[in-house]
Amino acid sequence: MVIRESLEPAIFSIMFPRTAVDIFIEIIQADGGTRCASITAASLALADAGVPLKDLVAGCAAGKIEETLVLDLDDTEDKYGEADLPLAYIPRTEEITLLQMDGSFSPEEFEDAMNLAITGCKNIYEMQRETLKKKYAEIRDETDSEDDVSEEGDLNG
Amino acid sequence: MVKSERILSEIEQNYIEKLVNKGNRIDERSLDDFREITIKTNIIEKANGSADVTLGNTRVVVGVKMEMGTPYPDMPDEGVVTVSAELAPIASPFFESGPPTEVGIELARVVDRGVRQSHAVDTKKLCIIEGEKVWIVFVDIYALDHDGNLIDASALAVMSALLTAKMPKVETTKDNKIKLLEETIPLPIVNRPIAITLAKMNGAMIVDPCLKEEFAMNGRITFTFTQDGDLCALQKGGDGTFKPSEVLSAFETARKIAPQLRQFLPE
Repeated sequence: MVIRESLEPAIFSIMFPRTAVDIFIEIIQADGGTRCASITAASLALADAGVPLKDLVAGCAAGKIEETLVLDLDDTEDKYGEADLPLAYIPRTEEITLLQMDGSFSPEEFEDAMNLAITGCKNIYEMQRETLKKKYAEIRDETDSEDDVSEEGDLNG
Repeated sequence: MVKSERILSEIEQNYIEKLVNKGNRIDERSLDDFREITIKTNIIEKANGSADVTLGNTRVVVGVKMEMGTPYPDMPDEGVVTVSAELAPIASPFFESGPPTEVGIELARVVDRGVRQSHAVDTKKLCIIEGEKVWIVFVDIYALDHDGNLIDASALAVMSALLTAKMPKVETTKDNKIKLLEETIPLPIVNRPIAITLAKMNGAMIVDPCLKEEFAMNGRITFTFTQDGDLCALQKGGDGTFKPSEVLSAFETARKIAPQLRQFLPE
C-alpha cells in the first residue's frame, strides 16, 4: 500500500482512464531497505515499460545507530539501531512520496535524517538515470553496427 | 481507502479548499484545532482495560485483554503487546465486514508503532518466568463511528485503555508453577505517546481532519511523540506528496499540540 502511494503520484494516470497498472515486486533476499529498493526498482521498471512518468522515484532510508546518523540501514542495523526513516523522493519536483519512521529522533535529528535520506535518494536517482541511458545507448550502438554491416554490403555489391 | 470509494462533489471540494485558504474549516475550527474530545474508561467489565473515545463525531472503543503465553525466542524476558483494529460496518458506509482492509491494517500498524517505539509499556515487567511464560497484551481497536482521523482517536483510546487497565498479580512457586492471585495491579506504563495527524489541503496543513476533509485532502502525515517531546513514529498516508519544508512545518505544529492532547489522558 505504501509502495503504491509512493509511486502513484509520479505516474500520469490521467492519460490512462479505466486502466490499471499492476506492479509485482518479489523480494529475493531481505537484508533491510526492502521497501526503498522496491520503490527504486519499480519506478525503473515503469520507465522501462514506457509508462509516462513525471520523474523517476528513488527510495532510500536514513537511521540512527549509537547516536550517529547513517544512510541505508541493513537488517542488523535496523533491528539494533535506534531509528529508521525510509523515504521516497521525486527529485525533479522535490516531492516526498513515502515517509515513515520508527525509533526515536529529537526534532533536530529528524530534520537532519530527512535531509540525509533525500541526499541518498538523489544519488540513487543519478544511478537510475544512468542505467536507463545505458540501456538505450547499448541499443543505439547495436543498431549502428548493424547499419555499418548493411552499408558495407551495399559497397561490395 | 480506495479512491473510487471517496465521494465528494466538486462544489464541496472547492468550498472546503476555499475555506482552508482563508484559515477556516467546515466545522468552524481553526487550522490547528482539534475537535471536542471525550474519554470514558473501564466501560467493559470483562476486559482488563477499556476506553471509549470520541473526537467530534468520530468514536472508537478499545479493549485490552491479557493472556499468558510464550515469549519470542529473541526476547525471552519480555512480554508482548499487539494492537489490532476492526472497522465495523456500522462505523461507515465504506467499511464492510470480512477480512481486514488496507485502511484497517494501516490504522493498527500506525497505532502499534507509536505504542511500541515509545516503549509505552515496560515489557520486561510482563515477564513471569523467563523464556517460558510472559503476559501477552492484546489491544483491540473497534471503530464505531468514522468521521475522520481514526488514527488519532484510536491512539488516544489505546493509551487511555492501557493506562487504566488492571492485570492479575501472579506468584511463581519453587517448582515453577504459576498462581493467579485475586489482587490486581496496574499495567507497567512508562510513556504516554500522542499521535497527531495533519492533512494537506491546497498547500495548507490542517490538524485533525474530519471525514469530508479527508476526502478533499492531498495526503496526510501522522507524527507520534513521546512525553519527552521526541518523535517516535511517523507515517505518511494517502496519495499526495509533501515538500520537505511542508513536512518540517507540519512537524513543528504537531510537536506544539501533542502536550495539549496528552492532558486528556487519564492519570
